[in-house]
Amino acid sequence: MTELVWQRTPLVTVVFFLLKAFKQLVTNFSNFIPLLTVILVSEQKWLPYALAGGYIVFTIINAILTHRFFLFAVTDDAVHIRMGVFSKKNLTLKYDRIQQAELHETWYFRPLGRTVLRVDSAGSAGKEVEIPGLKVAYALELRQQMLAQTLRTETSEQGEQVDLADSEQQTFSVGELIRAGIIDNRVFLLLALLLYPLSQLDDFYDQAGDWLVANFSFLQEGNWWIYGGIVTGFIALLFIAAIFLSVVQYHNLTVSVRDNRFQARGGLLSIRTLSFRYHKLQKVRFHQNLRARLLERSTLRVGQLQPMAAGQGQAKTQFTIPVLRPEQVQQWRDWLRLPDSNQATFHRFSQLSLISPALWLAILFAVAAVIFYFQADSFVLALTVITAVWLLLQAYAIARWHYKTYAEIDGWLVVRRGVFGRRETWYPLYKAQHIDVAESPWLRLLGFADVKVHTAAGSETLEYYPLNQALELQARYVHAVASDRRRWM
Amino acid sequence: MTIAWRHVEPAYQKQLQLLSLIDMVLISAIFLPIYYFNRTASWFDSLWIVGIIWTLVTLFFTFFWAPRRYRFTGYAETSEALHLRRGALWRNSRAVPLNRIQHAEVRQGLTDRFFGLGRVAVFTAGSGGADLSIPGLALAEAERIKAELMQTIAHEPEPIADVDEAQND
Repeated sequence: MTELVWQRTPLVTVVFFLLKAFKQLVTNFSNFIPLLTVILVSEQKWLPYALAGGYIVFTIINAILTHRFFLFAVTDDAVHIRMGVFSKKNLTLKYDRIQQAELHETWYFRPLGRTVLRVDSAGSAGKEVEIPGLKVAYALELRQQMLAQTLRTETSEQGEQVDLADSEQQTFSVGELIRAGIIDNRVFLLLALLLYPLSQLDDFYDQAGDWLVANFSFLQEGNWWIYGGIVTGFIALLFIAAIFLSVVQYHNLTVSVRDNRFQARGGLLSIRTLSFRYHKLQKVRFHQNLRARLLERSTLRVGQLQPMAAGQGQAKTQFTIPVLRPEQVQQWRDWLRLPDSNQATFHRFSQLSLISPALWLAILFAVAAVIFYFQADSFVLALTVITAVWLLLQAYAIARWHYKTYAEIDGWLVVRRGVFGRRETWYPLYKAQHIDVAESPWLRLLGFADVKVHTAAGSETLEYYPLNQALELQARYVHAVASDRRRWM
Repeated sequence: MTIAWRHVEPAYQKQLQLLSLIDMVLISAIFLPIYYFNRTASWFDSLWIVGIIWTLVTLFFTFFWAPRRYRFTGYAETSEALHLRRGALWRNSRAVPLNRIQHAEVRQGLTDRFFGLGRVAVFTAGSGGADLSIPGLALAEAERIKAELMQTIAHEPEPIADVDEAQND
């Protein structure tokens, strides 16, 4: 083994570690709420300042130390990382175990010509590693080296991983990105995020209430339409802000495809590059929510083997195209070599699978009816409401069953579902990890079983097969996987 | 293709019975102090009803659940996959194709050691814990299965590239 040359990241990366600590604070904010209430309740006026000051000093020192102790070394076949202030961590990432390597050109590194290299490795003990502050050219070269381990032919390429000149491309106009913003609108998430901390702090309401009374006295005159207007305006503003966010996030989004490499690059302030290689694909999902259906657009997500450690950040690192026109969807189908789904016959699951939700609903509403009987003034009214809700839910359950269909085409398992939206998920069957035949007591009574196909990127349940058919299906799938010698990740 | 299921060791039934008994004792260890400090509360007057329920549940686990689960638990090795079936009421039979196994290990917990048993845990990609864990094996049998699996994994032929992929290279 060659001698390791340990390198330190440049000093600016202190900013990176600082921001990371801050991000952690924001994501873990709800954990501190008990502490915050204690602070607010306590009489000491200096306590909040002392804590905030202490936190800031601690974070800065921590960021500087983290930077001091973050070392990395690059060899021909692996990248070594040494980090940790008190508890040391030594990491060795072999290139052939690397699932994904992305450049994240954050806004604070971009003017300096530097970038963050984020690497995901495979396996159940998957790790995510970020090396901040690399020169862009060097990071590109390093990523090249990492990803080229399996296919050495591409190593000679310079600069961009996917050569823009001879790759197939898709570009997205601002209009499309606005549509993406409408489809994937996080207003309700934002609302929840804003309301949650507020609802935790009664004292805040008291103070804010005083302030509101002092400054917006016209509200007291009982003009409820003003309240309504303000709330509606606020939500509309958030809606527009969310659209704006999506335009900023995906600005100049460009998809390039060449030699089984797929890359999506975009962003106004921070440029994100997501990419995957075809043979790593575990799952393809086309999704349309109700808004997307009205706009005639789809979202695409390609699932790869996800390291378990990724946790919350998972969705972010997945390869996602937020908005696709129908013809672009067709192009992606060709690129991903999905068989023509129009040729196949889609099957519904057995009608018997409706029994169990129907039974649960019936029990639930029988209980609800009894409770209402003792609570409500008018039994007839209670009964009407209960029955209406029950009918709606039951109709929804039937609609769900009606729209959930599956097919097996050329070694792919396709499942379609969605009552209001539409979702079409494709799994390459030969990449399945294990296959279950599950019988609940209820199913066993009827002589049926579910077949569960577990892949490296999620699982799918095929419901209600007669037991012997389920076992046959399992045996067939196992054979398909075991006899397939193709690379699966 | 019929699968030749093999049974696990009879000691596994005893292990299940012991484990369920430990769980029940733990539950009562949580509830008894609560009862003791709330003796005055009216809702906890009838200790004997709780006692009867506790006994019935314990009997259910010892004489119904444990034997049933033991009887159904089985494993099978075929040339293509490792099979495991388990469960008493909710039954599940799982098949892991041999070429998807990432690694395997033999585990022996405290009660396993007490009964001289071991278990083989098999991992595939993409999920957190062990994907398949065969309980109630004689330790030697567990070691044998693991050794055989490692042998199979080591002698697996190199994966071939996709046809399309090869063309493009």
